[in-house]
Amino acid sequence: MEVNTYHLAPFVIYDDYDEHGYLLDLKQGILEELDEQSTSMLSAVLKAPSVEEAITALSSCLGGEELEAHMEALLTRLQEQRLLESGHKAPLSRPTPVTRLHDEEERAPRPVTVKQRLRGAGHILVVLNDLRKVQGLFRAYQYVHQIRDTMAVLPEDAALRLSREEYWLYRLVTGLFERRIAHQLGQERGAEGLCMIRAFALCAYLLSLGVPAQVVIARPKYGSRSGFKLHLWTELHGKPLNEAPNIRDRFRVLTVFPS
Amino acid sequence: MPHFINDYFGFYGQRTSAPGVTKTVCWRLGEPGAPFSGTHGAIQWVRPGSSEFPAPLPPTEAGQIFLAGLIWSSENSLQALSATLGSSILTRRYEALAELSVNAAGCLIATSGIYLWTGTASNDHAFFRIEGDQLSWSTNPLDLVFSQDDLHLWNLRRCCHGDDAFLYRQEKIQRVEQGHLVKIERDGNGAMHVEDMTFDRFLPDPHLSSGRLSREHVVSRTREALQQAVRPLVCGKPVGMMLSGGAGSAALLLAMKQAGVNVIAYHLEPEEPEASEYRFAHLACAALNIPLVHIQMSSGPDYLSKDWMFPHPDGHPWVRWYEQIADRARQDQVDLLVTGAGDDHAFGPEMEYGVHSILAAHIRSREKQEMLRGLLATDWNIYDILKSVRPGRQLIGLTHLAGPSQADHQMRRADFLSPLPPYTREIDPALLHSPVFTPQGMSVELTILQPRGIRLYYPYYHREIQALSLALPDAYRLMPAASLPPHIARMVPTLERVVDKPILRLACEGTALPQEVIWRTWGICAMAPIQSFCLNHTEQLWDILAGDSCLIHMGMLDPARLHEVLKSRARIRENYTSLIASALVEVFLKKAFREQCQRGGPLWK
Repeated sequence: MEVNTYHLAPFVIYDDYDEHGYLLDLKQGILEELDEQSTSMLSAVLKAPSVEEAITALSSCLGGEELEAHMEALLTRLQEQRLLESGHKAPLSRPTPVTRLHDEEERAPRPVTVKQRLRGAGHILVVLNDLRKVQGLFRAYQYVHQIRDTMAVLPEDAALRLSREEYWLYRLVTGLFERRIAHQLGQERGAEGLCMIRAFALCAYLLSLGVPAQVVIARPKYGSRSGFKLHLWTELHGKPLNEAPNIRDRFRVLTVFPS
Repeated sequence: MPHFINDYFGFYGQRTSAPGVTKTVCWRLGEPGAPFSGTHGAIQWVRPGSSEFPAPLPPTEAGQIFLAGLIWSSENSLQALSATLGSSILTRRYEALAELSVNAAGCLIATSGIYLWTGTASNDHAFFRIEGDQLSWSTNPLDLVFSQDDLHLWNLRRCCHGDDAFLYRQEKIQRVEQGHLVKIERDGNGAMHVEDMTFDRFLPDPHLSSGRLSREHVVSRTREALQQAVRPLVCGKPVGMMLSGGAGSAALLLAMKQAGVNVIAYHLEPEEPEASEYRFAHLACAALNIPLVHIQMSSGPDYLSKDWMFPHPDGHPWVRWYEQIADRARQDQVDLLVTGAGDDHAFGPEMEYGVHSILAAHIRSREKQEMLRGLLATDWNIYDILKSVRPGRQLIGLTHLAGPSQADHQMRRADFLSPLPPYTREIDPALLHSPVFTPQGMSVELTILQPRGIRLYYPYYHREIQALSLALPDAYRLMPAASLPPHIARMVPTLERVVDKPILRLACEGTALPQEVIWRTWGICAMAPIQSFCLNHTEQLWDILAGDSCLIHMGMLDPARLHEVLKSRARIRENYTSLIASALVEVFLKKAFREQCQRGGPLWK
């Protein structure tokens, strides 16, 4: 092999729980699942300084002369899918600092105005519209980052109170469109997975009000009767807002954003 | 003072048309005496163990009575108890029968025939079989099995998926329904006639069935009903509470403390922190000053035993854990365990909830307005909320409060079993209402608890609680959190946005029970320790399911598929319930069922 160092492509998240690898590409909006052997190989490649060392480490458990060929086939395939890149990883740019009110600790909680709600509803509609488009997940991902980058953060208590009191508006607006969007995304009628739509909509609305909400993408730890491979929800300071408080016990978090 | 008589653990009997008196004996459960000669006979099984031999029920003018279960009696003597029951049956004035044996099954051998009954909230059930001129009856249905032809094969398959289905062909092994009395008599030609009568049923609380209800009034009635339900336990003897740490079991613990019951709490904790409720059990016991016994749940090789003698396959993954509690209770001289099971049916949502439930409820207008407003702050879809104005459109589904789902129509996944053609899922009666006969519940009692001399009491099946439940509007079984009093609504998001069993939880408000315990609506990862067993003991599962396997011989289990499932952690997780359920079915078929078929019918010939 010519190239002996690999890393994940930007916006790709890898998890090897239960020897069942998940490669989630936020940019392309795809989830690639790996079988047991491929999971072992990719985990080894990402951990080891070089492919050769990964093969050496794996040869004791996977063994066989075909290991090298399998490894090459896997790495080539993942590169073609733009999930994996060769060479050294470029350093990550630092996230944009969030705008904060100077007097945020002292700021008294004020009721949400009609104007704020209308603006918030607009953010919900934009993020829902983004989700329908090509690379919808990534567009929505970028959109919540944009809101976050320009928001003024409320103190924790006020944020929690707003997330409770303003839930109805998010539900009302989102509920009008969520199923239609799910169907446009190819989901089956009567068995729609609405969590992605809801998580982005709630996050966008709360961010617009100054509540530093985040979207969590996670995979089931104990299997899923519904068959869904991923689950999304919204959190505030680590507290799930539209899920049970112990939801993280059931799921393995892959990513949380905007950070 | 009224009290529970807790000595009678089951009965068996058989008769043919041949003349002769039915001989009766009283034996300790699990310690049968020498077989009778002749074909007529009846056994009263009594409490096993080393304590004093319980007194047999004396014969009365009406005939000989046999009992199984908890008998609620204010009679001073067994003679008077027998006489009261016998007279109640023969005179067809069933008030006494209903009251005394609401938690028991029984049999009366009278000159006019054999009478069998099952109490409305009884965990013990009377079964009978008529085969030619042979009549046999028992509280253990396995006693009545002759051969493999008695198996209902589709229900066997359902048991492998973990469904709570009755395995035997019911046209052969008949069950006396709860609240029913069956009279079996022979006519002059020797032909047997079966008359089935209803002698008891729960009725809605008349105090809640007329006029407009208020939340405060229903909460107050709930507190009274809880006190009534635990009253039989006030006897000074230690009583064991199976405390999960959920609101249902904690509410009972509170009621027992208030009533002065001598209670010990037993809590099972798994190794996996995400499946642990110990914190809540501890909080409840510390607040109420009740001793808490912590038992470490076993997920090791002893989780499944090939030696269990099931009367019926038990697809419930808690068999071993019941065994752990029972062993500890016996060590503590506790012979009565209390369970909080039944709280969901008594106070939680049934299959109906929506705007129509709120509008149709006989409750105050102000409460309705709060509930309707609160619906908007839930995760239900606005269109579904609007559509639920019509009575047929529900917001909730069978398996999930979020709404109807595909899972409602499918049995649990079992990739290692032979594939099925399209089928219609049959719903376990226990999912729809209780008290109801559940084969799995019966199986745990007969396999684990009763051989250890322990009986189980369900306070949520008490007449007062059931009466309240029957009168409880659907709008009070589920409430949007935003419609609850402000100090509770403010707990969101720690409190979920829809609260089940709100009335039961409100009944615990203002007591020593911590808010954290009362208002925990979310469940823990109960599957974690079961999956741990499956993942760590694949060889044991293979040994049980594939070694000399009855399920393979019957064409139900495919060893190649099983091999594929067991080699993948992800697939083990997806199939864990049916792996355990099928293993328990296999244990039943290989052990208890095989022995019974070899014996082939009546206990003696």
